[in-house]
Amino acid sequence: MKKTVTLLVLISMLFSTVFLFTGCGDSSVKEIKTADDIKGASVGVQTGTTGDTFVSDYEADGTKVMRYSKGADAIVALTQNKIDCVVIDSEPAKEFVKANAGLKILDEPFAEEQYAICISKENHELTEKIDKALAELKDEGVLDKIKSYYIEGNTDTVPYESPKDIKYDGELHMATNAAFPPYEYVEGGKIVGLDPMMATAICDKLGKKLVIDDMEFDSVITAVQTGKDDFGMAGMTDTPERRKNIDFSTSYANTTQVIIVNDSASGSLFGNLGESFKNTFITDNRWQQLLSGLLVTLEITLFAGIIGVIIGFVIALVRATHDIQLDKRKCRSFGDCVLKFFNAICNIYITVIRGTPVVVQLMIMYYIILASVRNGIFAAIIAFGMNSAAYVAEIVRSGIMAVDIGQTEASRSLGFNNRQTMTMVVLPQAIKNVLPALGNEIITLLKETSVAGYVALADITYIGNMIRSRTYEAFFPLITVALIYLVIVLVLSYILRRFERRLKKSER
Amino acid sequence: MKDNALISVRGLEKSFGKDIQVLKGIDIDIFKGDVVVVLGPSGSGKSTFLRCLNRLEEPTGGHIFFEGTDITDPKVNINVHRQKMGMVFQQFNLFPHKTVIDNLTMAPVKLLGKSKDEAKKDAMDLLERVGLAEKANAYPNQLSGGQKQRIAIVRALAMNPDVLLFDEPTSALDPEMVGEVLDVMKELAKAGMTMVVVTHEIGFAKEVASDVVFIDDGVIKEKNNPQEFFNNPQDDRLKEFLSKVL
Repeated sequence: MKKTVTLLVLISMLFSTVFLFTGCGDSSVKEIKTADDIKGASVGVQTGTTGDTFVSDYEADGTKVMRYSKGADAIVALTQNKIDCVVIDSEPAKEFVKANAGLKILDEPFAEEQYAICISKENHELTEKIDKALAELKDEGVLDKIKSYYIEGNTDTVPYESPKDIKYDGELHMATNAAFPPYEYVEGGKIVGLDPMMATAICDKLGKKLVIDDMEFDSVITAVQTGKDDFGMAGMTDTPERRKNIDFSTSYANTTQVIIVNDSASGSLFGNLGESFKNTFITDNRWQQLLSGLLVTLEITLFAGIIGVIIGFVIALVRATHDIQLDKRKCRSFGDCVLKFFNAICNIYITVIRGTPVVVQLMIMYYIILASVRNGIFAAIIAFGMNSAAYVAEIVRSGIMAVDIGQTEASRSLGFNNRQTMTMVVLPQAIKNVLPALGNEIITLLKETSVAGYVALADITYIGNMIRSRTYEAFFPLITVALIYLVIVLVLSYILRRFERRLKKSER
Repeated sequence: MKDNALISVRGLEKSFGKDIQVLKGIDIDIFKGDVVVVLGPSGSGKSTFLRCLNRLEEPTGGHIFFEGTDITDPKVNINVHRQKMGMVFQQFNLFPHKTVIDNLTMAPVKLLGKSKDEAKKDAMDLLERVGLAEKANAYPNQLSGGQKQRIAIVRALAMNPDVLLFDEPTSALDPEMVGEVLDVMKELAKAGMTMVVVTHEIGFAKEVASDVVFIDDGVIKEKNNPQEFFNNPQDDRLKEFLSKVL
C-alpha cells in the first residue's frame, strides 16, 4: 500500500514538472522575415540534411544551429519558442504547417536543390540499372502520377501498384528515414510516401523485392556505404560533399529549402488532451506499434541479459581464480601462464567496455564488426550482451572475493580441489551475495536498450519518437514510454525481491 | 625421519615476503595415537606451523613427511593427502548454504565415493556421538558456537582421517561453550585419534596431551610430557610464559 502511494506521488511529480516547464521558451525571440534574418538567429534543422549544411555556413555570423534528428522535433521546438525558425525541405514543410495552426512558411525560398537516390560507390552496376529504370518510369509518366498523388494531393486513384503476377529474384534493401512526409512516413504501421512507391516501381523493374529499413537520416549514407542497405532514398539532396562518399542516381524531384516561422504566439501543448490522446494511441492503431516496440525492447533485454550473465560469469571466474591463486606470484607452471594470459585478456575487455559508451559500442557492432549481418536485433543483442558482461563480471568477481577465505580453506582441507571448491562452496554463496547487484544490472540494461534506435531498431523509445514526429505531440508519447519502462522495472524489482527472499529463507 | 612416525617435520621454514620469517626450522616427529598440544605466545608461529602441515600455507623450506610421503614435493597431489588430515578451524568454517547433514556427507560422497545413504548413515552415527543428531537438517546459522564447532569436528571425522589438526578450536567460543567442545576432543583422544592441537587451554594440555610443545620465535624451544613440561620447565622463555598463563 505504502509503495503504491509513493509511486503515485512520484508520477504526479513527473507530470507537474512537465506542466511547469511547458511553454517556458527562450525570452529573446528574434523575428525572421527574410532569409537574411537567419544571421544571428537560433535556427532548427534536421541533422545531416542540406538545410543543415546551408545554415551551418551562417554559424560564423553568430547563427546558432540546433540540430534535431527529426524534422518534427525541430517543429515542436519552434512551437515552444525554443528556436526562431526551422529550415527544411518545402514538401515536408507544407505538411508540418498544415498540422500546426500557428506556423507559416516564408514566401522567399532559402535554397533550391534536387533529390536523388544514393548508392554505394562500389556498386556502379546498380547505379546504372536504377538510372535506366528511373528514365523508363519518367517516360511512362509513372513518376509524374506519383508526384501528383503525394505532392499535389490528387488522391483519386492509387498511381502505382506492383503487377499481381510479378516474380522476384532476390531483395533490394532501401535505407530511409520515415519522418519526412510526404516523401516517407509511417501510416497504418507501414512506411509509405513518394520515395517508397517510387522505390517499389524501380525494384519491380529490376525484378527485386523491396525491403525498407527505417533509421535516423544521418545513418542512411553510412548504411548504404557499409552495405547494410543497397540504396538510400530519403528525400536526399545530391550534393558535391555527399558525392565524396557515395554515388547518386539522376535526380527524380526538384525541391526548395524553405523557412518556417511562428505566425503568432499560440500552440499550447495541452490544447486538447482528448485529441492528443487519440492521436497518440488510436489513430493508425499506434498502440499496436507501441506494443511491437515493447516486444523489441524486451527481446533485446532478455537475450542480451542471458549473454551478459553467461560471459560475465566466465570472466569473473577467470579473474577471481587468478586473484586467489596467483596474485603477485610469477607463473610456475604452464597452467599458471595460461591463466595469466586469459586474465590479461579479461582485464582489457572490461577496461574497453567500461571505458566507452554503450551507444558507440552498439554502432561499432552494427556498422563495423557485424557489417555483413542485416539482422539489427542480432547485432544489438550481441552488443548489449557484451556490454552487460563486463559489468556482470565485476559484480560476480566482487561477490566471489567477498566469500570468507575460511570457506575455501575448509573445503581445501577436506581434500576438494580448486574447481570443486569454487563450484560447490564459493560460487553458491557468491551468487546469493550479488543477486541484488545483478538485478540492478538487468534494470540498467533494460534502460540502456533505449538507444537501439541508433541502428534502425524500432524499440519502445524509437516508436515513441516516431509517433511524436507524426503527431507533433510530445506529451503522451514521451510520458507513455517513460511509464512503460517504469512498470517493467517495478515488475523486475518485485520478481527479484521474491527470489532473494526465497534464497535467504534457506539460511534461517 | 623416523620410519614409524605418522608425521615427520624436518627443517620447516616459512617466510612471508622477503623480510618476515615466521618459522625458522622446525623438527618434530608425531606418532600414531599421539596428542601433541602446541603452546606459545601470540605471533610465535604456532598456527602457521599447523597450517603448513596440510599445506594451507606453502612452506618455503624444509620437508614434511606424511605416512612416508614427502608432501612438500610439488609433484605430490596434496588433495589426496588432505583427505587423511582433518582440520578444525578457530572460526568453524561450516558451509552456511548447506544443512548440517550435507556439510558432513559432501566430502565422503564426492571424494571417497560413498553412496549418499551410506554417507548419511555414517554421518548420523557421528552426530549421535557428539549429541547433535537432532540438528541434522538445521542450517549452520541456526546453531550456537559450541554446536558449530562440534559439527566442524564431525565434518573432519567423516573423512575417516589418520590425524586431526586443531587450530585454536575454542578461541572463538563463549566461555560456557568451551567445555562441550573440549569434551568431544578428550573423547577422541581417549579413542586413540592422533591429534595436533594449537590452543591456549592449559587444562586440556595437562589432562590429555602425550606431548606438549612450546614454540617461540619460529622454533621449538621445548618439547616434553605434560608432567615435566609444566612442573619442570627448562627454557627461560617458557618459564616466563608459564608464569603468565598459569
